[in-house]
Amino acid sequence: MERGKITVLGGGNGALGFAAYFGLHGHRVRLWEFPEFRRSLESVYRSHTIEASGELIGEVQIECHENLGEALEETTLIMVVVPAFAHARVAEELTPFLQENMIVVLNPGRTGGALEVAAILRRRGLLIPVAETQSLLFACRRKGDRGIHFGGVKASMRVGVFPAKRTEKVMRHLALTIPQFRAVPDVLTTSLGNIGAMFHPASALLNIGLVESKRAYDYYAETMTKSVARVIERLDQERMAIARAAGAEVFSAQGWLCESYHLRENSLHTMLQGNPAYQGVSGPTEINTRYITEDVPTGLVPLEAFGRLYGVPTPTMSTLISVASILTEMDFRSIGRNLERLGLAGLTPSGISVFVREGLRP
Amino acid sequence: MMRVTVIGAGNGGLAAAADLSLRKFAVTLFEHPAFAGSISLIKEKGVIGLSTLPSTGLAGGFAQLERVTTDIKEAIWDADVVLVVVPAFAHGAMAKEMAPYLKRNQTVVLMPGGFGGSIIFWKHLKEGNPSSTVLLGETSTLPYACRKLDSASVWIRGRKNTFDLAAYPSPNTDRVLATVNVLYPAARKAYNILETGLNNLNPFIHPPIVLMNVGSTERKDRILFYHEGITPSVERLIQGVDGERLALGKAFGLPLEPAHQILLDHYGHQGAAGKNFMEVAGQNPIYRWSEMPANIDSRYITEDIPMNLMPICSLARQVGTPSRVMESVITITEQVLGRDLSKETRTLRELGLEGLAADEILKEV
Repeated sequence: MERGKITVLGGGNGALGFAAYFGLHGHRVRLWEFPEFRRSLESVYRSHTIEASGELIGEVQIECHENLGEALEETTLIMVVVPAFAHARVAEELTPFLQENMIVVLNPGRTGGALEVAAILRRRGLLIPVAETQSLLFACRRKGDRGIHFGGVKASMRVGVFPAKRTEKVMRHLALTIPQFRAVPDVLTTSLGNIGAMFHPASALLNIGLVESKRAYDYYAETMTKSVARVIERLDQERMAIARAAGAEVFSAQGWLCESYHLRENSLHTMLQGNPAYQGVSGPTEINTRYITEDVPTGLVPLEAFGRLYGVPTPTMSTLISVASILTEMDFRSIGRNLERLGLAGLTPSGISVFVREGLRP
Repeated sequence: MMRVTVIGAGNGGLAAAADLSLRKFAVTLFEHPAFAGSISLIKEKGVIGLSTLPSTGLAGGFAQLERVTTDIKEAIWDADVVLVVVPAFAHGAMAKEMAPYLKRNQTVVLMPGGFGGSIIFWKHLKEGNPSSTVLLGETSTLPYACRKLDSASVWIRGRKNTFDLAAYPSPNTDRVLATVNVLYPAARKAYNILETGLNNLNPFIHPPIVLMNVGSTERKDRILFYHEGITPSVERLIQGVDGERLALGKAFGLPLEPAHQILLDHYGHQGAAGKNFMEVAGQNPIYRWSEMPANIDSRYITEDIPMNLMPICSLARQVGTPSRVMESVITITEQVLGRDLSKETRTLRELGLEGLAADEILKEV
């Protein structure tokens, strides 16, 4: 296949990881980051190089763009690698430059990423497919000015495409570029499979005293105590009930831990405490953490919205959203992925199935 | 000389018995026979050791009690005033036990009443003795910050410089206050028991701090409850519930003070200062000994939520003042504990306030 151009949007760990990954696989990569976050990429922008280390090694040349329109010329694949709360803004910025042969992939979409982005594009008359991954393909961390260290590359990654009827066509293109990508039936599977939204807000909110104590601490060991794990279990039961109502096959939190870390099934508390991969992970130290500011508006808020559409009660999710809104003084239900932003307002359960398949409201 | 009986030999009961006795009142201490073991040492010696923080202005020493008993009749028959210092969930049962022996002209004060404690107490008193005519009142708070050191000694580190008192029904407040002021000049007149109930800060302060520090509590880090447990976000949650408390007070025409001001009223004389709750509580000198409870299942949650915050939240819903933050605190508590608290709560129905409008409730109290 022709080695097409790929544009990576973003400038954090994941974005540089993808840029390096594609470069190492012989693709022409262009990078664009929002101007206000470009400062940390100064060295990359100047040298046009990224140095990969760890599981992937090598120096890659990339194009760095100040102008988004130029970054998208002749590109067919747009990899969006920014926090999920910025997806809507990315969509707005993209609209003037998008063309019918382009594919947008959110890495990852969290809950409702593809739906939210597609709704924005639809309002501008654009019907291009939007894909979302279940999580980030790599564990990678920036190292120095222009280095990226790969801790690991996942063997497979779930991808949902909106609308689902275009999955095959999109995957034909995607799977050649990223062989780890595996299609799931639709974006409900990826969106309702959001595990981070189960773990992060509950543990951060119920330990906000520790988070704000200004001391370094071991995240899983110190925040995931029995009662916190119990709250997470309840959250997860609510999510699983929504997934059942939606007919989406998703992992439970415990099932996901078994699958991802090869752990034996046990109580959630035991699994979280016993996972070697979770030892020594440092926790957030301020309320302005993505565990809250990302996982609430693009995780719990859209999950609560799905719950309402499917008639599944979500008292635990709702309480955590309310508490997070009180503590941050941000109204997450209005700024987050509510039914209007997801483009789902007024749909019935069967209407949702038609919508995610066809991309048009029944 | 006024004869005082203290019901309950927990932290607060021992502090009151020892302090009043050292201030030359004739004090009888009662503890329920089920907890006889907890007063056996005091009973044997007739003495409580009291130590105090100098800033309280209270003298310590060995307090010689008049009488120590597990017999309720013996405890109260000759008392001028009976101070009930038991957890809120014991108010009803205690009233029933006291009912046959209480006499006209005796004054009973719940210290504190919690929310609607007097109503519950009165109801059970009447069930036990329909002709009972005691004077009944309640305070907004325990007059002390204190802790038992062992089974026969107690340490008072804080003395509240002002706190509220109301009688139930409220027209009796002046008479009850006159009696209580002999013991506690710091007691001041409240409009009614809604005011004392809403000025009990515990349900607005304790649960938010515990719930926002679940990991520390369960890991038994024993961080300092107020000095370390209140961070800016915890303060916002406290402000949230306190705002709803003030709004509810307003619906009843009660000009309540914000939480930090109440704390300044209590402890300003012992060095508390500041402009918001986090400042006042976070630096209150007497709070340097207050640790996070060792379990999630402590009275900070299991008493303050079902006995106080839940009926207050129901009342707010009933009269139409904001209750979203209180509801969140209650729901999150149930999720953290993994149990439904609605069966353990003091309900508005039980308090006889269900379905009443604000003006009807005012008449009721």
